[in-house]
Amino acid sequence: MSFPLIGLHAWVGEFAAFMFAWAFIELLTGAGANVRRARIATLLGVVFIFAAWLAGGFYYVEIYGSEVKPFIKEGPMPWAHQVVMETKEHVFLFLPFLGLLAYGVLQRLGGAISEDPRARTAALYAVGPVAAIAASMALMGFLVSSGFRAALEQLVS
Amino acid sequence: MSQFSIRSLVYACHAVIWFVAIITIAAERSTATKAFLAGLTGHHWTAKGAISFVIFMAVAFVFAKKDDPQDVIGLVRGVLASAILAAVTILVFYFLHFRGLA
Repeated sequence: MSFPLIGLHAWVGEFAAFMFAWAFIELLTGAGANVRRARIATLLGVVFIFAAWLAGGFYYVEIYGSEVKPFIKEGPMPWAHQVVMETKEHVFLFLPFLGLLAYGVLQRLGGAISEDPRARTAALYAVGPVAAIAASMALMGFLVSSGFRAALEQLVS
Repeated sequence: MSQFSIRSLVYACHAVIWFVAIITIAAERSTATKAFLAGLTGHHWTAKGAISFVIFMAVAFVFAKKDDPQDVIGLVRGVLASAILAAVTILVFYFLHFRGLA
């Protein structure tokens, strides 16, 4: 079994989290140049989230269900699929839209972010959670991988 | 994205977040619902994603020109609250489902 798609999904997903974390840090300062960079980082983050959706979605539908899920469910950590993966695959669906909201907030508020602390706080509220939720996807992905690994170890022991 | 008001994007996010939470639980509770979703695109998860995209765009377009308040913190915080609450709802549902309690 070879799963390059899951590697691509994880890579672009983590890169998306980094982009939103970068935007969040830029917004903490909030000068004009920071806001411009935050907008670029957020746009890149949105593109990476959609790429993660495509790569992870194809892997999930075509490979995971038939080649990974049955092993996890029969292994020592069935909750890795039945609780963690089920939660991950559905909460993930929030991310593309929260990313679009974050980019829209930065676009609409524009220069106000540099001048109005309330506008900057709103931008931070829009961008920060996307970074946090995207990072939580990596943690849940680790738990699912651990469930698969534990199932394989059980098979060979 | 600048043609969409922040309010329109906020409403669209609320709609998608709660659609995902409700349809996820409904599909686990009803095999007919899950089969209906699978019949749309071949897999229930891709159907949820495709419908979410349509809902987001539809709601955003409907409210695109609605004015934003001077201070949008409340609107954005509301989406954060929705996302956290819906994520916890999904997690707790699957935990209970795993334990045979839901």
